[in-house]
Amino acid sequence: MSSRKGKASAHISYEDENDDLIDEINTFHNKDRKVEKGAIHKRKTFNRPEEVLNVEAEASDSSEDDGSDFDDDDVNDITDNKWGKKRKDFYGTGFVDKDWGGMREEEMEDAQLEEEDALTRQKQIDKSTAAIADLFDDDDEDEEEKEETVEVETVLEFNEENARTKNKKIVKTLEQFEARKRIFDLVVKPLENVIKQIPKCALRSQLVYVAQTYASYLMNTAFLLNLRAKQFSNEKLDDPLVDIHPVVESLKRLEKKITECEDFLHSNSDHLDELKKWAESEPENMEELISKVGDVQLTKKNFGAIMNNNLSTITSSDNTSIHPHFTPMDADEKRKASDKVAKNREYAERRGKKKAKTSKTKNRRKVHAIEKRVKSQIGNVRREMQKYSGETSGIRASTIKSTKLIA
Amino acid sequence: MPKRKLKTPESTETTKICKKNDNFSDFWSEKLDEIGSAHLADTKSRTKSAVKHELTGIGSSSIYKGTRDLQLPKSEDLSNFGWNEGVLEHLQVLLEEIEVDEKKEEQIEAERGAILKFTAEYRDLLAITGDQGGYRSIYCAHIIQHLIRNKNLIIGNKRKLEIASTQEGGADEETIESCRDSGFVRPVVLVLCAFKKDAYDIINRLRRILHGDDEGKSEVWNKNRFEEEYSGPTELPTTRADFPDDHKELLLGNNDDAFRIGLAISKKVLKLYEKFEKADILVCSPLGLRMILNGDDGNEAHLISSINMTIVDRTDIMLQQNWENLQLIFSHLHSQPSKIDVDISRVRKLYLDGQSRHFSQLLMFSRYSHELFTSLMLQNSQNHRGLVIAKPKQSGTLSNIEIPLCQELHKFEVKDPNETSDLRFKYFVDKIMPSLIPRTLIVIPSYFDFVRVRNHLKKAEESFVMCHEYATRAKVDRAREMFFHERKSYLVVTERWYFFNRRHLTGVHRVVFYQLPSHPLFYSEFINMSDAETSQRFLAVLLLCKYDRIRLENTFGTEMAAAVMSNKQAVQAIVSQ
Repeated sequence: MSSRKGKASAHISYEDENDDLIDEINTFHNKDRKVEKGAIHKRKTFNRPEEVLNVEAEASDSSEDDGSDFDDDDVNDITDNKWGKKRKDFYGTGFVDKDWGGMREEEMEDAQLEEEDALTRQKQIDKSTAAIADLFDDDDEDEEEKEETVEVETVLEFNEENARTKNKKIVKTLEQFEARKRIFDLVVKPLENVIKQIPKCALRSQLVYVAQTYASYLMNTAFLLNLRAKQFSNEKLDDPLVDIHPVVESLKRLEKKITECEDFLHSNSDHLDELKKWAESEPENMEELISKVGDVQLTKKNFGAIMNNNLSTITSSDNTSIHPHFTPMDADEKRKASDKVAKNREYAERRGKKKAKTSKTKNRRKVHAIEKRVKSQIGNVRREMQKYSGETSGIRASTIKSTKLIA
Repeated sequence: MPKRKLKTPESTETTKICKKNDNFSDFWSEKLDEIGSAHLADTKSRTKSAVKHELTGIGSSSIYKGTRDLQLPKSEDLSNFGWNEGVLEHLQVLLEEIEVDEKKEEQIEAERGAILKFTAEYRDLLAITGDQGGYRSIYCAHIIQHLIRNKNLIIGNKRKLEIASTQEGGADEETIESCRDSGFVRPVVLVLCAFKKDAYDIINRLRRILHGDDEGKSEVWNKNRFEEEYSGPTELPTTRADFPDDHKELLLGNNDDAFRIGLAISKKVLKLYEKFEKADILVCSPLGLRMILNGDDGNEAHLISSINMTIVDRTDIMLQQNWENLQLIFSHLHSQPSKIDVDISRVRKLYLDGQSRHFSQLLMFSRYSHELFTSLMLQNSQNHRGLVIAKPKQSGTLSNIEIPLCQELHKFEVKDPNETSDLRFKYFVDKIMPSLIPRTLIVIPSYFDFVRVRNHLKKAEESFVMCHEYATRAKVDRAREMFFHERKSYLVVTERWYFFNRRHLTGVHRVVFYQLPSHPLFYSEFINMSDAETSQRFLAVLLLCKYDRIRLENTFGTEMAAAVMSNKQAVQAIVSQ
């Protein structure tokens, strides 16, 4: 056996295919260790109304949610809260805006004062309307009609203007489609040559992900535009079936991925240009390429998916380099511990919030705890809004309001 | 020799003026006795005697005549107004620059013609129009023309008095009486607009009408300060929310709403930031002017005691700011000043007699009509040249609704219009509140009604949150989040908060309109906020009385509003198919 190793010829580049070098035990273990394509992610193919070529990249859909659901934006300079001194006493204050029900006694007085002031001002506005009350009286005397059912046609006539108004999203989608198709032709398509010639590594997986995302987005958008075109050719302004089509849902998911890909392309445009030049001129010179393109920033969110994707295409390469982006990933190689594990952060998180250390805050917390216990034992005093003032409709002796109990 | 040269163009001008209408002289030379004054002040009788006409351009209008009958507009040429030729030329250039949709070109041309005619004839006008650039150019040209005639009159009379005083015996009584030409104070034009960007646009239009397009000729004092303080960004701020077009227009430019600036014109010089005592034109926001009337910044109500012309631009935005400021300004207009610093012999007799309100023109422009606009117009318009209130036919905004809908219209009876808010509140508490379900959005257009409803809900210990214009940003966001996650049942929203924020409220299953919103688009926008997942028909509940007729016409259209109002049923249902 050892003499055979010395006699290995230079043209043999793949160890797996040469049965002479591997005995039966190694063959068995290699077959057992082999991971089939698609075995990791088995998906159910649910039935869709119309089949679209599914070219979605297999990537995790997890995305970090922003803190608040309603934090729309911070740019809002318009304010109407400019008043003289008098209004500051009532409006704009924080009292009575607390979100629990009921009124405290100290707030009750302020709320009453504000209500009286508001009533006075509303009366002034009503007086303005009262000054022109004659305008409203004249028309009432003329018309005396009984029950009349009025049907108003709100369905718009189909023409280009109404179609454009009713489908503003499609106009926007069409513009985005054209813009991204231009980017695809200029930037993403030349990457195909790079993908073919570069050895399998993390960078290659990233480029494949970008190309797949763009292709999938463009095809789904083209399909949606086709559905809308059919709708318009049938002279319909609205079509609920198109609105609930699953392609709309797919595009929402793809929108996020496209944004990530655009960020990647934007931040690494110089390096991608270098890659294209390298693929055209010198496909053999790897050392020079690594020195130029070594600091490409891969998208962190998709790194895990790329690692999983690489497991199915394991090959060894003679060109071993130190840089992590260009090192083929072995199945046996261990991944680093995450920051959370390395810094032992979970234990700190489980410990909970810091408790008070000064006597002032300690005592305050004690008082709050005691108040909770007392309130659970003794409820708040409820006030009677409208006191019972007798039967407003009079007393009738023949009326029986009590409830009979059925034995 | 120089005197003779001056006389020749004067005689030529006199000849020209005889051939044309002289609206300026007609406006001031009207003799008004007590009977005429009482007639102009009687709003109710004028309302009854108002004539309705279908005017080309501004639609159906109510015409309130002054001391004489108002002639309906004919297709006249611009030269018949007797205006300065330079002003006309520059006005044409300004109007042609505005980009107009081809389909609406005829309509807009007729509209501008009507506005120009009523403006040039010194008639009061309330116009409902979206052609902002057009009507602004027209009233700016009218302002310049009025000031030119006014200044020429004052200078001529001043010279006449100087000549007469050098003669033997001084000026006689008749000459002194005929030379009365000014008011108590110098400002004669008041322009009220909502934001600084509006003032920026108006003042630039005034400059171009005065000087034309040639930058070299024009001389503007304090131009750098004006550009620094009043110009704003021309691009929209980046935002994640998708705002409608009118809200984007609101966000654009310098939208400060507390400003006041005085303008003076002398010969060919336009002076900005002039002291108000020496200014001819005041361009203010209602808040900015109110602060110097009897507010924190001073007590200078006498500055607006001699206003000949008042222009209120974009009244619909001022309704969302603070209507009380506008009412306060109009109550101070035409009042007797507390101090007089002027030569009393030059003051017109009509100012001394307290008739100045009959010799003042009031122009009001808005995008949609409202009962408060009509009320302010009728209460303050006593011009002897008459008043025109435009009420164009409305098509409504119901076609914007995109979901299947059932609308409940609750009509409550009102005998005394002063008790409208009390009756509305009582109807809401007795009839609407017992049937409220969780995830209900309650829209209250007026903040004062909101205070009342909020206090009632708090006393009843209901589960609700609020979005109103005085709440902080964090509180509003938290309220929306609690409503969305169903920790609170009702969301109470004021119209002014929605006007300035335009947020999409998620989680709404039903809408209750305490009163119909003033803005026509808000009704359909609130309804379109419903959760699309609901398979049931969306329910919108609406309270209205007969004094909400104008709002109903804006939202439902003129024909449908008439049908709804004439129906005797207390509760009507409108179901979409």
